[in-house]
Amino acid sequence: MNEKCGRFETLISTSLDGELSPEEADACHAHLSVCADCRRLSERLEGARQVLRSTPEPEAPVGLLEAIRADAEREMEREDAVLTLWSRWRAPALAAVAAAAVLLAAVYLPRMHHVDEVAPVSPATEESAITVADPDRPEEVAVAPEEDEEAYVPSEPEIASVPEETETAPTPPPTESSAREDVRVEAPHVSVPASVPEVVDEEPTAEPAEVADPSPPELAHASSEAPAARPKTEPVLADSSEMMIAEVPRTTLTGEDAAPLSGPSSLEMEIANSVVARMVVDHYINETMVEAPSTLLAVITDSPPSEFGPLLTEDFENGSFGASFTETIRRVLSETENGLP
Amino acid sequence: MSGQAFVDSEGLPVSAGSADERGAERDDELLVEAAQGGSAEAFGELAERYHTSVYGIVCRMCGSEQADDLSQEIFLRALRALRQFQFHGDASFRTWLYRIAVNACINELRRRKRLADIEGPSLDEDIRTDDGTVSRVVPDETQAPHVLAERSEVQEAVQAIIGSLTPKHRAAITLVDLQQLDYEEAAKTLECPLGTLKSRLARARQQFAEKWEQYEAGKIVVNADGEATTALEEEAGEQR
Repeated sequence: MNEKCGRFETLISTSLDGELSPEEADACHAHLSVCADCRRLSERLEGARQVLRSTPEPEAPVGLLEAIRADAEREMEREDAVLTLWSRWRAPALAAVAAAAVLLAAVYLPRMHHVDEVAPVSPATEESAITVADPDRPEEVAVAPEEDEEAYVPSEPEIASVPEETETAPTPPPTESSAREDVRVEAPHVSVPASVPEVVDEEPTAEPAEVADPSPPELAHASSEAPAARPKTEPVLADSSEMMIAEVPRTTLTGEDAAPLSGPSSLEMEIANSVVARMVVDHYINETMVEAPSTLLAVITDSPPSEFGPLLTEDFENGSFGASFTETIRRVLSETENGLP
Repeated sequence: MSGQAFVDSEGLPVSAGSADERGAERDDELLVEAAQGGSAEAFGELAERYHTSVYGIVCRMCGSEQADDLSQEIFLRALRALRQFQFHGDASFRTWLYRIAVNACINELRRRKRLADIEGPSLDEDIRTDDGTVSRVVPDETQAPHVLAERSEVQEAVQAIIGSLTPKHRAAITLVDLQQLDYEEAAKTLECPLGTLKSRLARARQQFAEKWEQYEAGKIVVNADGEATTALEEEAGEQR
């Protein structure tokens, strides 16, 4: 067999099964007629093929089929159980997911954004920032930060760096978070009195006062009055972020509570409403098979909200959907009608 | 065959044992649809049709040891994936099921190889001789009648030689020469081009032919334990 025969090996094997094209078969036969090595190869391959094809197929064990059937029955029963469970709990599960989406949006979106927003500081915080730098009243400083430490323990670099900034660099524009840092990081300076006079000597007293930017009147009022905790059934929907900030108790700023500092902004609530409204509309389209938007709107908004689960209704005006949510539903339905996603 | 009767769209009873291949595929389609709808009995019918073939593929690819367990596992995988299966174009249930079987066998061979690499030399490690590499067949502990019945010397030799091929060559020779699939169906099962299948099959047949000649010449023997080994090693074993 020479190099030229190499390409005929596959053709010879294939010819044994009659799978060659007419052209390939002609070429193969022509080569075999002149090449003794390839004729021997053809005979060997045919012999191997005959041996293999004459070998009987192993018989399956007696119990194999029954074992497979038993597996199938168990698997089908398991799938049925899952489907039954899902059909029974689909609506509550959907409602729970929707409620979770709203609650998560209400809790975490403000946290994601509040650093970037310029938020006013309460007079209490402002006072703390000033009194920390007051060497004549160290005992006042020693009390408030201790309360803060329960809620927030600053890391060592934060403790060390902030006073240096107040000595040498202009204070950055005040934010809610920076104001909080001012309150919390002052404790170490109280324990090291030598550093306090240095700050006071080099910095005019007006500088710390600028750090604690005066609050808008309504915020000052909210913090100084120390309103009672917001009832659980209070609506989360809000028209503006400022309003929500005013409603949130100021306990967080003094370290008594780890609750979020502010509620969601109107944009955040709009996003959350859109998500929930889309889920509700999809749910009703799938569940009721009603696709006319006007009918759907009636079905959705007239339905008892309890269908969507206790979590959702607790946070939506004691069991009824808010006006803005209904409006969002209306908008989503309009998008559905127009074929928008 | 169970007493469960399945009917086609025209209300005619489905004959599971139809000789006509297209009719059999049509029967498969109805059974698959019923199984996809949650009928365990329909899947049982499919299993009855194909469990022997699947078991044969597993035996040829991986040996008869634990072949029943692996076959059972293959059908369970097929059942779990059945909802995604669709008859379209040239897709047939048999091709799809065989593909699952071959892939499961190749994975099993890889698993065994990894295990062997970790644990070191084992009884089923290939034997290197001057005439090439010959695989051993691990003694089959199963004393079930079906295993004993098929233990003819020729069958043992065929199995031992197939076991010495690479997994891809094993798969090609198993599907075409043992399961007797046509080239197109075998290529679809192995998810490879037709030309690749032809060349793999040619190589596999050549290697099998070489070793078969060694077996016929007495250079490879199958001992009482079902091991394929060289004659020299067998003699050394007897002397010990």
